[in-house]
This record gives sequence, structure tokens and C-alpha cells, in this order.
Amino acid sequence: MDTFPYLFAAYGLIWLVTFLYILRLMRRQQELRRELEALKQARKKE
Amino acid sequence: MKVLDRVLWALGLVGILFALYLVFMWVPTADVREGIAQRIFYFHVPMAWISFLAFSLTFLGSILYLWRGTKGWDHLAYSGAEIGVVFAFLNIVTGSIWARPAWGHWWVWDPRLTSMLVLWLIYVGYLLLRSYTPAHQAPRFAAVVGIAGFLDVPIVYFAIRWWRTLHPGPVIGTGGGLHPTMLTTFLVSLAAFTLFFILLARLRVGLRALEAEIEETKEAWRE
Repeated sequence: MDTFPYLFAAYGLIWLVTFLYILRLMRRQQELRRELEALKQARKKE
Repeated sequence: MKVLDRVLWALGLVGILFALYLVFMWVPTADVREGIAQRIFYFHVPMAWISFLAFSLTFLGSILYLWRGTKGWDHLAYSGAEIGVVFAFLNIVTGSIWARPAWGHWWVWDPRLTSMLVLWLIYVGYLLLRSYTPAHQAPRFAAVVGIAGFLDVPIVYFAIRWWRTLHPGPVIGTGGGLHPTMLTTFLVSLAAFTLFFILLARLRVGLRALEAEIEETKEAWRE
């Protein structure tokens, strides 16, 4: 029985989900840093 | 990103790539009937391991938050739940993919599979609770779920000892009678993913702290 497609699907899924999760965290980190900086600048101007 | 963080991320990546090399190039296929799909095992179990570690963080963070009331513990609890949900999902789905060639079914209502699914649902509920509860109440309510939900972790682990099950015997803590090459590959994979988990948890806790800082800055501004 050729079970390679199952192996491919399992490892592919692990990498895809992990990659997307890390990418989401990195993007969120950048967004939050920008937001925090903008907030601090706005407070200084007040 | 600090230099130490970069070095650790690089180490984690090298570790996982080395584990992949062992899985695909070094270790022999153990089960003729399942064929090459048996190698799903080497990443399937670490996914469960990461989720258990992550839910342990939630458990610990929740207890300490209720005890001390420090926000940092709540950040730890939340981060653990989120990481745990992601990797428990991967454990369940890769297990299902492995089950098809091994058992002839995508899913069976086996005690191990069912208790793991329940564990995942508990912590999905934890995250939903945090999303839909007012911010000043969410950490306390969620901490109760984080502690109570953790009771399912030993049930998942011992399910294969307590009940008759299709699932293979325990590997973590016993070695599961694996051939030395299989055990080496498994342990390398487990170590690499443990390092990866530590890095991911640090990243997520830092992010959660940043989210909280922004909320506090906004609130201070409103006042």
C-alpha cells in the first residue's frame, strides 16, 4: 500500500499551520509596536 | 530581536531540520502495513507534547494569577492556551491522517482520541471565553477554566492504560520499546520541538504584554 500521500499531507499540514501561526504573531508584533509608538507620540503632543 | 533570541531560533530551526533528516533519510520504516506513513509518528507525538507543555503553562499561570493577581501570570496563561490549541489541533489532525492507513478509518471514538478532542475543545472554549467576556472579568473567569480544563491532561495521557484502546502504547516516559534508531529520531524531534515551544511561548507572552501595554496606554489617555 502506497501511504506516501498520508505522510505528505501530515507533514505539509504541520509546516503550513506552524508557518502561518508564526507569521501571524510576527505581523501582530509589528502592528502593535507601531500602534504603541503612535500612541506615545500622540500623548507627547498633547 | 535580541542576539540570544536569534541564536536560539536558529538552533531550533537546525534541530527541526536535523529531525527531518533523521525521519526521512535515516530511520527505517517500522511497520510494513502502514508503510512510510508510520513516520508521521515522529512529529505527531511532539505535537501532543507541545500542547501538554502549553496547557501546563495555562494551568500554572492561572493558579498564580488567582493567587497573586499579577497580570504577567495571566499573559502566560493566555499564551499557553493559544499555543496549546494550535498544536493540539495538529496532533489530532495528523493522528487522523495516520489512522487512515493504520486502522482503515479517519476517526474512531477511542478513549485517547476522544479525550484529546475534549481537551482541545476545552481550551478553544477558554479562548472564546476570553474574547466574549468583559476585559476586567475575563482573566479571572478564564483562570478557572484553565485550571479545571487541565484535569483532562492526565486523562488523555493515561487513557491508553486505563481503557482498552486502538492507540499505540505510551512513548513519553517509557520509550515504548522502540528500536534504538527510532528512539534516537524520536528524542531528537522531541528536543527540537521543546526548544521551539520555549521560543514560541516567549514570543507569545511578549506579544501579550505589548497588547496589555497598549490597552493601558489607551485607558490612561481616556482618563
